[in-house]
Amino acid sequence: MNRTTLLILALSVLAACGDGTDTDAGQAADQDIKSDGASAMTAKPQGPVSIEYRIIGTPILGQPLAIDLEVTSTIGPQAITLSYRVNDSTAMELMESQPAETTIAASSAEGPSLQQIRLVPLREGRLFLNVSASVDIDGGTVSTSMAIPIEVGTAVRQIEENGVITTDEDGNPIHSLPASEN
Amino acid sequence: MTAPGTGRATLFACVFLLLGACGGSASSDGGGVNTVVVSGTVSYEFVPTNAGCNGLDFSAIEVRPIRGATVQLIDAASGTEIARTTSTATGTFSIPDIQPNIMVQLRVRAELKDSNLPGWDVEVRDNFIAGASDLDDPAPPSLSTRALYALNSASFDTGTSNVQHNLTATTGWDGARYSEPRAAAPFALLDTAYTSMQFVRGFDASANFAPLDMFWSVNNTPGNGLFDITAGEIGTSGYLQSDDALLVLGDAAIDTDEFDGHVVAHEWGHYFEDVLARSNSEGGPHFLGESLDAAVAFSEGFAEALASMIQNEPINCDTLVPGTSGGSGFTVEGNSFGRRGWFNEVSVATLIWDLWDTADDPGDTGSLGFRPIYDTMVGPHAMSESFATLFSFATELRASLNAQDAALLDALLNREEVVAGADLDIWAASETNDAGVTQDVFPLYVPYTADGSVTNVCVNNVLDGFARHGNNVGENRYLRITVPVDDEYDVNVVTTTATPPSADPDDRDYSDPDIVIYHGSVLEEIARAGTDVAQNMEPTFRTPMLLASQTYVAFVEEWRFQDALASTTFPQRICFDVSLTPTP
Repeated sequence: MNRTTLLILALSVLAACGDGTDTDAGQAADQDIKSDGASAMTAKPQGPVSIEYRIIGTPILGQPLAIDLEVTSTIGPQAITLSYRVNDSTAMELMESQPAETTIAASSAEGPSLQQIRLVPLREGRLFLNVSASVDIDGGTVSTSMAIPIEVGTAVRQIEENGVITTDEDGNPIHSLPASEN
Repeated sequence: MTAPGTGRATLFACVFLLLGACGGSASSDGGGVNTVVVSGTVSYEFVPTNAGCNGLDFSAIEVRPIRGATVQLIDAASGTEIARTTSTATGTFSIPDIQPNIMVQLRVRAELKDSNLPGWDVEVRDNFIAGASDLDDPAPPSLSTRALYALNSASFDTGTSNVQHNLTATTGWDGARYSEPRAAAPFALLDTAYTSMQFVRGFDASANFAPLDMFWSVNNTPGNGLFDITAGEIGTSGYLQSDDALLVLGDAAIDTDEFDGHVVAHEWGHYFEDVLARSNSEGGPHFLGESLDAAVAFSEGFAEALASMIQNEPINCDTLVPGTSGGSGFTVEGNSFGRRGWFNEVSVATLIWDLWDTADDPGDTGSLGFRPIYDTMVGPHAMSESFATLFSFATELRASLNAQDAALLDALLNREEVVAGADLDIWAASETNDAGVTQDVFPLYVPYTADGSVTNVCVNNVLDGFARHGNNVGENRYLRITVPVDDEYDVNVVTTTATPPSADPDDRDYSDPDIVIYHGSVLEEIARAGTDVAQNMEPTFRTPMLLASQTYVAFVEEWRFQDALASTTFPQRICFDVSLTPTP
């Protein structure tokens, strides 16, 4: 399998799980890729509450932004506690009227519960809203957590450094990390 | 006057004695060339989770050996390799016969190499390239040539006596954040692979492991819905089947998985299935208790059970942002999420875990151990005529068990509301648990004779949501194909459901069926038709020679059910006419 095929396949699988439905044209073009079950990518297990989201419109600095959430518990008719957190308070804030935690009452109806979160981006870049959905089970609480990426403006993503790239004796790239020695 | 050699020998003898007194024993070859031994221990810092899986506990860091890794001694001046060895199971290494008084450096490569048969070949590499993308033209370097992680010492003088250097890969955590290089992370991943392979080798000393690449970067992030390995946009941690590769999150602002050993072992479980057994999973996101496609549910459930066995720990912790209490966990011992059944990964995981463990709980009053599970996975389950599902696994396993163990399996199947006993077969012919999806589920394998007749099959996505994962019950159909004559066959899939254009019409308003045909018993993909999205072509193609003596299976799907950008008015149920016609 050539590399192009690989990437197309890989793209397709994750495009399929891209929960956001940002309507940006560039993104749409990139997601116009085909699935291929034989070249699947698995994903780590998520908790027992399915969280899917849809960003409404284009995020703009300083402007209120709404995100629709579709929350479904696999455990049955039990209350779900949803909490919203922004790790970087300089990045965005929940609107005043938006509680940081809310409880969806237990319902006997199957199917998802719809919620909307409202917040305001405070700077450009890729910002993240952390959403956690928790349900009580025998012996404790189990949660599904996810970080919803929100692209604001055109600021580029911040890249982290970790060690240095060198080459080994055969000229192959090595990501060199320093040892603690004694 | 003494002969020249005699004086030198005396001198060396004195040095030898002196060094012996110091604890270091340089050696002489008797011809006057001294050598030293460079030895030591290599280790890494492992960060356990807090109780309740509430984040990582940096106050309880454990120093663990780096096992089985390549240790190189490098000439500091030229960068050339002087010697290499492999660290032991306790992390020690010893490199003899090294020239004294030279400047050298130690390098521990994040790799496990054993070229013998059976052997293994694991490498931890950095997939991320700053400023680059998978979509670049020209393309970035292939994944298999990305930078290999290595732990490097400072340069040191070999001196005149044996020298010991102990290296530790540290976390880089300063009490509040990662402020130094995160050297421990690649070696934590490597060690999970080592543990996993040793677990399997404990039951099958001849297990040979195909090459595995583990890709990790501090810039590996969930991303924004795109998937770009080079840019670190990997969606989540997972296993990429086409490349025998694990991708692991490392973004400390969002989610890191390098110390979430259970998560890594789970994905390694998918590698195990792929290279030693069999998986027909299409992958994709999945939530505990969801009702999934049969092959997806089995693959995820097996991987979870295997990870729990490898870790000898039924609780799967998945932490989020280091330094916070973010994280959650679940157990495969006693918990149940969602509807029980063949479609629930938790049902699969708890069933296989309970076959293995020795703790009794409802329905679980015995233990098979891992051996029969392993033998089934790498044997008849891998070569089943059907797809790899709980039905193929349980049927083949049951056939190998004595009456008592078969009763245990039946009890667990009953507990998980899966057909059991004599009614169990690889085709799920007697299964009736439809996950509440009232149509397009049974028969799980639609019988079809490839005589040119048309069979109409339908799929629906009533269980799927915004995200269109495309991997829930009802979203795919399986065919069991009988071939009347040895021949090549023309395959046609034609959508019979009307797909009216949306208010903003485009190609995504239309149906896009796919079909993949397998020869299950020899693990061979015969043909596939996943046509281009934009053109909405319906599959029409000719197979290679199919044999009348063999059984084939096919997987049929509507790709719009996993197309996040498909029209929101796209029908929730789509039907196709499928036919295979012998060629003239």
